[in-house]
Amino acid sequence: MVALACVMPVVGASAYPHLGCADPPGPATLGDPGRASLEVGLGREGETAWLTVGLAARVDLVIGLADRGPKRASLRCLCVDGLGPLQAALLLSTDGPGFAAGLLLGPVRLDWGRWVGGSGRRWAVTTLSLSDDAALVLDLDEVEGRWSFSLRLRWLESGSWWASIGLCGGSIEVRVGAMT
Amino acid sequence: MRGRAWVVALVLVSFAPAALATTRLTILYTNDLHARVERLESLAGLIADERRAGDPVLLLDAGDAWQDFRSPLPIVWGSEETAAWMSRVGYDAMAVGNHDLYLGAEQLASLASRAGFPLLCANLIPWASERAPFVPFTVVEQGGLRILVVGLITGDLLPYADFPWLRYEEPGVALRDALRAAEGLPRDLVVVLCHLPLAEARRLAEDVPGVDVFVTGHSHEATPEPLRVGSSLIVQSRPFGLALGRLRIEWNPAGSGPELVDNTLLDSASAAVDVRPGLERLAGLGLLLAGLVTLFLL
Repeated sequence: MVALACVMPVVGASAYPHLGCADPPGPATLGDPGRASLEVGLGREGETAWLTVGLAARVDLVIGLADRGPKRASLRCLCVDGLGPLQAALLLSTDGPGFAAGLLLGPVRLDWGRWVGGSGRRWAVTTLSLSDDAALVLDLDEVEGRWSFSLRLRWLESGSWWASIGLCGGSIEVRVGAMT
Repeated sequence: MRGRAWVVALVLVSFAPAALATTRLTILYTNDLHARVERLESLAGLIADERRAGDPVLLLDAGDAWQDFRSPLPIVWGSEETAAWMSRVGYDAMAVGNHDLYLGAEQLASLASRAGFPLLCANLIPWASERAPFVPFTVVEQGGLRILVVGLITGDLLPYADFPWLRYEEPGVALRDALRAAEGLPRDLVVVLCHLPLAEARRLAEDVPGVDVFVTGHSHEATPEPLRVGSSLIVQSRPFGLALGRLRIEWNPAGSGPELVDNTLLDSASAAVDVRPGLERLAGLGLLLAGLVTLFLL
């Protein structure tokens, strides 16, 4: 199972775009109505695509497609925001409910979450900001007792599009994304 | 005898305009307050004393006023209280510090919109489509002086992943750009509020001419005596609100720059503060965090 980095938009009234990680991205990436992002990846697990559309200030829709993995549509609703560095969101998907949480600790960001139904998948992602255009992303992922991890270097170009390359399960994975 | 008196009188009259135009300005400065609310009451008293002294006062902060990870309470509480206090005591401008960005973009924007003073940062540049909750510079008028204040931030420890819509620019480049952009604005003094260590401010002063005062922060150094680079003065107060910096200068339009009168770090005192709202938020954060981690692990 490939854990995906997705991008998108945030949250709240001012709705500044954020760059999140994990599948689905942490609540810091929650939706800004009208903003959308698309990320496609190519790795050992085949092609994947993730589309995120902001529906309301605290709600967005995430659609994930994988040619050999699950296809899922989920709604993310931001429940906790502004409690210090913590944000938390409720996930409602075609597989069942779940949650996603994020902690912003300066240049380090931690995201984690899990699905309660369906695959029962859980994930934890650490993002270390190296500069304004580069980040190191460590992604731990568990599905049905099988753990996998990926380590990626992500470039962000002009803020609106990005690319990442990383090692995932011994193979190289490439992802490209863009945000409106 | 009478002829000599006339000569003396003429000399005095010819020098009088310059002498009359000399203006004294008190720059009060803080940096790295890190939401230490227990120091605010004492700092307010020191600020009020300086205002009562009669000279025009410029009140500035060099960043990291609103957040901290070193102590539990400022992680969740104190930013709004500190921002409200800054607004109440009449801050003229504040530089954005790296810790202020750790609050997240929305919280920073919310605090900025409620602050009665501008947030400054010239070297984090937003995408064309986004509006940042800060501006590169502002002009403040005090005592008839027009003071251009520019903000700068360090590139260290920034939460870039949460601010992909901001591009970082080297402070020297951004400062030159800001001075160029402000060229048309009338100004008597240039003050750079930089959330940068003293050594970096010194390099900036060497590289970018035309700045009268650098008020610095981030490195938790203090300058009982201001550093001098050419005609520029560089100062920094103690962190955590332990002191209020007071730089007094005299400015004369006929002179080559501001003349230093003195620089003093005025010690503040700690006061009892009702921290129950903060403790409640901290308990809420702890419980929620424990729950979310447990849900993940089970």
